[in-house]
Amino acid sequence: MDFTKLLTFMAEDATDYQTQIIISYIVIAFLVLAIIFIVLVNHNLILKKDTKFRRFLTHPLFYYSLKRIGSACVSIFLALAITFCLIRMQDLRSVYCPANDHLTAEQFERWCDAKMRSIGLSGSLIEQFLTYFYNILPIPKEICTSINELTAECAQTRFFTMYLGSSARDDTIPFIAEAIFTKLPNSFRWGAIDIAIQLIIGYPLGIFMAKYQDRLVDKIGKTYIILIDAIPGLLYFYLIFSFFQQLLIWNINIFPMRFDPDDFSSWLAPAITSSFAGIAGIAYWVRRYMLNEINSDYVKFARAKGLSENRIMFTHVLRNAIVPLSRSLSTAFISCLFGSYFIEALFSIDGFGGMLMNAVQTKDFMIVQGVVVFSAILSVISYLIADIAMAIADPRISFEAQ
Amino acid sequence: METKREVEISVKNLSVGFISHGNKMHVIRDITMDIYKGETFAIVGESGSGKSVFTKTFTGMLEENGFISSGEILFQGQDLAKFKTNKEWLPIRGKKIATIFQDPMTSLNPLFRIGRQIEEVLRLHRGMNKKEAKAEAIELLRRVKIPNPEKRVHDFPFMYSGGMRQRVVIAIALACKPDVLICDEPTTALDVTVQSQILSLIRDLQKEEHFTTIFITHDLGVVAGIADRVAVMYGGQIIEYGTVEDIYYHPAHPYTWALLSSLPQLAEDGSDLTYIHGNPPSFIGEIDGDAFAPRNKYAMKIDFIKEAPMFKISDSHYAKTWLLDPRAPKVKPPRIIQNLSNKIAATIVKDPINTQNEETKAGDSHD
Amino acid sequence: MIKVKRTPEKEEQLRKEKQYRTEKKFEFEPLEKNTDKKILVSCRDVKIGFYNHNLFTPIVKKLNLDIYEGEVLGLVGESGSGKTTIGRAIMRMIPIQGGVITYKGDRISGRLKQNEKRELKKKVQMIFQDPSACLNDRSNVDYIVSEGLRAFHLYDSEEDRLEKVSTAIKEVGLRTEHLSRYPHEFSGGQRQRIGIARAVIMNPELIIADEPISALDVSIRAQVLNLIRKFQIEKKMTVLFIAHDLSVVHYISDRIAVIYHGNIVEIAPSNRLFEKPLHPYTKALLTAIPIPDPKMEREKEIVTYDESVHDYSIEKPEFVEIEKGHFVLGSPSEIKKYKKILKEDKKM
Repeated sequence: MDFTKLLTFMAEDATDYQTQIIISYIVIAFLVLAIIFIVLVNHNLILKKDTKFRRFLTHPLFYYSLKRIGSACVSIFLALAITFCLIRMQDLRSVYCPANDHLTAEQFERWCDAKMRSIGLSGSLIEQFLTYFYNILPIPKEICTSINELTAECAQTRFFTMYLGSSARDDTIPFIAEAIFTKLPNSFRWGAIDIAIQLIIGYPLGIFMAKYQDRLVDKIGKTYIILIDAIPGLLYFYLIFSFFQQLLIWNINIFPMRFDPDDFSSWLAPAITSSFAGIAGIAYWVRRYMLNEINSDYVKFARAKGLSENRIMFTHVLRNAIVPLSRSLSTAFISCLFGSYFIEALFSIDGFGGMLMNAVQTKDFMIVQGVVVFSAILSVISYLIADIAMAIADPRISFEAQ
Repeated sequence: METKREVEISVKNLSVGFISHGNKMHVIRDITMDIYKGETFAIVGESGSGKSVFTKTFTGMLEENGFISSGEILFQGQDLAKFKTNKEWLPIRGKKIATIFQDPMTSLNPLFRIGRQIEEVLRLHRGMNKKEAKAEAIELLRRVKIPNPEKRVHDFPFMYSGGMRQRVVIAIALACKPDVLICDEPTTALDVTVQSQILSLIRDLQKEEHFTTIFITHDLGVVAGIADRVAVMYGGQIIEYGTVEDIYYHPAHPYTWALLSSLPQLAEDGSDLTYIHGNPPSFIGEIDGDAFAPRNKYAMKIDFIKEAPMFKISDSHYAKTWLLDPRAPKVKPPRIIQNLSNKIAATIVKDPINTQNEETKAGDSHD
Repeated sequence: MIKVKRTPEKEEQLRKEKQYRTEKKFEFEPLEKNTDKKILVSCRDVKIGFYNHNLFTPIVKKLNLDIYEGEVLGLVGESGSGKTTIGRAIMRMIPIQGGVITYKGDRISGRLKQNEKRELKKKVQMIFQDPSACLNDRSNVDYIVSEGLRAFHLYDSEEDRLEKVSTAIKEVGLRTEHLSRYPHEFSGGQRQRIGIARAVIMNPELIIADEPISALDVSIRAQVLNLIRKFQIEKKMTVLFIAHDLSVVHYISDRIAVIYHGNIVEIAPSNRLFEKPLHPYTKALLTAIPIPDPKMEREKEIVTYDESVHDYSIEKPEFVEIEKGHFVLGSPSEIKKYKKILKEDKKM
């Protein structure tokens, strides 16, 4: 899927911009009204008749999710504020205005002021924060991206455009968000496969380890987990990597080493390499939670009911063991997007993980800020999804929250 | 009762062992017992007397390190002691012999709706489809007197109180119309008021369905109300059994005497409660003679050397103590448990019902 | 600012609440009239509950209770009735939301100075329900029992401490060689005895026993009950005995308070309560006790308690002393009815 087309940032012309604004007003008004309505219904102020619609709105899970989304928004705002403060502690002027011999001191100052203004780094701190926050809000707005003091290149954005700033070093990255969206699919391609492998192997491994506790399967699994945990990650990355290279030497090319966004087979090598640690983690926790549940009273009662061992394992026990694990699923996804710098470097993938590293090395603070904000938003959303998933898995959570 | 009654479960010379930290323990030692069809058979004993382990052998639910070392359990023409695999147990467990456990709070899976947990059994053992099972589940909930069952069938266990959960557990146990219901201390974790409701529910259901109940408890008050016959267990053996009247009015074994004397109802004002000195026997190693002898005030020399056989006291009443041997000195049970009825009658509230009747009458005249 | 007009009653109530919060010393009239017994703990208008999403859920509604010095007061009720909560509130393990608790006239609820809290902890000790859950598995009996001594430096030397610990452990019927062992090596009854030794070694004035026997077997129950009684008599301790089993409470208590849904519905000397229970809930509780006698238990009729028998819509229920030391909760017309029953009873 072409992400760039889906998220066209710029409005086509002035009329498009106007319609975008109208659409955004309508959407915002609708959201605000809907939230007020739902809150009123839940506090028994309106719509007191018992209908299907009302029951849906007052369902504990629904209201819980709504509250959770609210608190997620607050978290995102806090994350923004903290990143903002951290970045502003740096000496940004020296970074963004490199010494220029062709300009006089006065010209240099003027040029630098203009540049700082254009990237939103002038004025008081509060002013800066407000512009920064306004730019990030996904509403249509006019932003100027030019860093040339002579011409101010301003553009009108469309609805749902987040402007995270533009690169200081690289003129080819006028929109950091756009840059992120071109790199993210690469990370996602192999990350999704990585997670799939982790789940497909990790879960059954954990289940069987729990079921045949202290038997052969369990012992092999335990050894595997200990090995993965004990050996520094880099070493077995290297071992696996050299194994793949060995395959190449023998002319077995199922796993091409160079990552190519269009070639599925080349996605496998990084995915397999990175899944080893993940499998160990999942198997360990699945086994532990399963064993916790196996010794509980309802399992004994299920046995007394006459259910077969397999049935008890795969319905009763697994279902209960998944509750604490349902949380880890979406966080695993996030970590595979961010924490994969090694893999991306090893397989030369132009992905999201490397982006932050490059930006830090080149002191491109706007990119650092953009990437951090973007990942903060992603993590908050993933935790939100995890919490809601957990509430779905365990009805007690949403009911008790009521 | 004069006529020979039909036997439901017949246990012959059953012994159960456990292996723990390399030690072999004999937890059940040579029990022979017949349990009759339709009766309520209570097993009384302290924790560690082996009463739970004994009934667990009927459904093959011994812990992994436990095993039946000898003996047979005859049930409907099969020897349950010979069963090895889970497959063999499936047609028995839950279908013919159902169990309810002590703690209703944890007996139900917290994540499944009440309805689903009942339907599961119905579909498995009675081969019903989803729709039939649901209708039957609602019917079962109604039978255990859960108000508004059509709605509550969709609830999760945490929305139920302890007493209600125990009712659901009973409903699940009875879903397949079992022949035997094993109640393992079903009311210990419940409040007194709820306890009496659950007990009367079990009694009522038994009257309708005629199943055999095996009732395990350490509370002598509960036993008095529900049981037809009582077996007292100590140190992995049944040391006395008989009808409730036999056990309460003519107890013969010193351990039964001790149990009865420790009832708080029997304490006279200002005096200490009687209690049994010492600790229950540990099962590691062999026990010489009578297991209760070291704690027994009436122990004779022979008690430490040789185990007593079961002496017959009447057709229904047996006890395993040398005191019943013709050569033994005549010992009377302790004074405190003689004339039990009168003593207990003195402690209970006189006619609470009558005062309430008066009260309602008074209330009527008021209106 | 809008001034809300308050009724005199409301005004009075607020004044009282403020007094409860600020004053240090209280001298309450005993609830029981014409009594010369010394009061150890008094609870006045105590309200306990928790906030659930800004909604106050009361556990104990309006508690008025005196605990006399040297008595055993039984507190009976079903789970969720708030009986444990009351015990914990006296121990300051949970805060109270209204009213005041005093100990020998000193306020012990609300804000206290650090040293006042310490003093209280020395004088009040607790015995818990589950002996296996309340003893630290990783420390030996010696450490568990002497922990309180260490915390308050109640010993002169190491020998003195050891002597105190071994006397305490002997008093509960264990041997000194048990001191070096760990809790998991003991049976349930022995563990409960360690719990008692731990509480008693501090020489407390008040012991709060929170269902100390419900997790134990019948025969062991008797041992533990005897032990609590022994200490109560020998050391003249006051005991608040919390339980749901009335037969046990009857044996050990001088007075019994019956609590239902956060309200004390009846208090009476324990024999009197068994002779003449007045409140319908007390009756239900009494009939629910299983009688260890086959004939009587089978013939017994169970009274079930239904809250709807009370009509409190017009008349508010009050807590009234209906005869000497016998309190019951009821509306004026109910109280009249109860009095009539007592009168008829006297005639007979």
